[in-house]
Amino acid sequence: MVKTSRRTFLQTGALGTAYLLTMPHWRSESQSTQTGEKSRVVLIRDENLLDNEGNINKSVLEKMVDEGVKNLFQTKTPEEAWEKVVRPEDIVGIKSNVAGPPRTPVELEDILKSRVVSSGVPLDKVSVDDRGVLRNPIFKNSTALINVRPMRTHHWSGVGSLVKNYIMFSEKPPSWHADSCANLAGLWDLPIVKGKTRLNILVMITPLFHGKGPHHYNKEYTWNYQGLVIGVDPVACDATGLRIFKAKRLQYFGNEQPFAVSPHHIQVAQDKYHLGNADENRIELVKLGWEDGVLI
Amino acid sequence: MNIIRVIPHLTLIFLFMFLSCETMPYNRSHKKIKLIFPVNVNQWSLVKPVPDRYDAETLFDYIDGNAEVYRSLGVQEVWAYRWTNPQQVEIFMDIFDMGDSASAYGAYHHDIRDQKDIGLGVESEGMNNSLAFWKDRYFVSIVGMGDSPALSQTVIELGKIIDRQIPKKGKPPEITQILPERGQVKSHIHYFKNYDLLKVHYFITDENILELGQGEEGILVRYFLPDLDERFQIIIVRYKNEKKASIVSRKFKNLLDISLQGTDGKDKSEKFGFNSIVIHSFKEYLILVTDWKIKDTANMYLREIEQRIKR
Repeated sequence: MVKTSRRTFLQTGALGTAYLLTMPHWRSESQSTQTGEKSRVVLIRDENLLDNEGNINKSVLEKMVDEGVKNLFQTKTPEEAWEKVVRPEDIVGIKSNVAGPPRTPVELEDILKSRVVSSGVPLDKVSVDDRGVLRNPIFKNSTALINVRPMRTHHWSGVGSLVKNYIMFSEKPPSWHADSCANLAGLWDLPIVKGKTRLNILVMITPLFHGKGPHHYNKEYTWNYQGLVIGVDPVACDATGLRIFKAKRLQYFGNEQPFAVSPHHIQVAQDKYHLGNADENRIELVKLGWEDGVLI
Repeated sequence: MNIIRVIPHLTLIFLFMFLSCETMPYNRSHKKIKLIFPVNVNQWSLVKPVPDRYDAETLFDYIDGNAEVYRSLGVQEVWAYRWTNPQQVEIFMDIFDMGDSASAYGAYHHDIRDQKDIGLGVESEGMNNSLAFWKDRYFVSIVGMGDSPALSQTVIELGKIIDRQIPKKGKPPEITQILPERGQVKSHIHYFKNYDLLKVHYFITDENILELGQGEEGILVRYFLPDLDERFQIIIVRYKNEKKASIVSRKFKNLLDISLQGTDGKDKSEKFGFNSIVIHSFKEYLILVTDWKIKDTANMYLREIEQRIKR
């Protein structure tokens, strides 16, 4: 965690005072977390998830979700895996994301809800919501949360991430916007969510790897990746998504184009909040399905 | 008789031709611009003739955290129109009244502008299905949610319709005129009125070291000198008076001195976002040159900026 911090005062120049700081600042470096174990993350893709018009094939998506969850929890069947996610006595909030495009696909919301119900949770004890979570009685009384959202670049936080998806649990979302939303992981300490998250799914079906303007969207900057990143550790899932974004941007721009806004909140989630692992060497990445361009 | 028969038709045509006629505050003396749109542009028509309107407080409801960009630059009002075609391909058309030209410039230049100029407003950028431009106090964004030649053409036509109806051009902020030209990466020019907006583009330190206040402004520009393989940033802040520029400069240097001596007990590697910096105040300006490899380059640029300020 502690790095060399040697810096050198250089000299007073003819005009301005000059300082040479020999170490690059912390945000550009990976630091090992103090959490110890590696985080298991499943990256699953299927080249038939989208049809020629870009519509989602729901049955393919169902298989991806089940296969991904099964591999994440290393069970023999998806049913066994879902039993590890929720119990029949749970009250389950599925935190979606409707801002977009791209938004969390409705098909995926339906699949997750049906899997929760199939695991024995009564239908009236499960709810899908985004902006209304603070008014939603299921979320207010929840015992378990499933966090699902697409990754896309973002004006103020670099990327819209799983860590960021809990901002709607804050009474004052703008209060988290300082320093490119660096402290978003603090959201996960709010009483309404703390310790409740059982599963995170980062949707990478048509990710937005670059954006402009008030809606920060241009179809030019999306591609049919047709993947899901699934894990228990939201930071590890986000870091994996970010890794794919960086590779895609390198491919598209032809050079290492920095994000318009630094997505450092993911690294901060590891280094300051110890919410999970962002460093690649702390992530056990399991790749399933379609391999072409998997990490670009 | 013919004239009498024609009048009802003309009335209808007039109504539909000018389906949307809304006014927007033109300046603080309550002059307004009028935006008029035809009933159809190619196959697209307005979902409703009256736009959704947002102010600085309600803008979060529309574009979530993206609102911070425009709020920090003093957005006054936003008009959000939706167009759609029979295939339900939507076009988002947003007109931001930013209060003045400098802020409209800032809203436009928040994004990296590396695509072709399509000749709208003062500066514009077009892609295959979207465009943005600024003119007078307005920043305009039009985004098509699909991908087709017809959509692209319609987006441009809508941009032209708005451009024609904004009578004044407006000027970039004066602070842009003191920027040296050589090596300027024109796609990466970012104008700001508060420290948070600067920090999304370039991290100096968490502390509000620049102390930007009401009526003060700054600009961040990236530079690249390929012959020297030198990449650096210039940040210029214009304060209300020379005294404040001088005080901020002194405080910044003190902070660095203390940090470099290691007496503040903090991990210095976490404190600053630059590898090298030159700090200089001149008249009401604070000038920072960061991440240079060759200090002479930084000094050369400082001198040029001073000369430009003197003009």
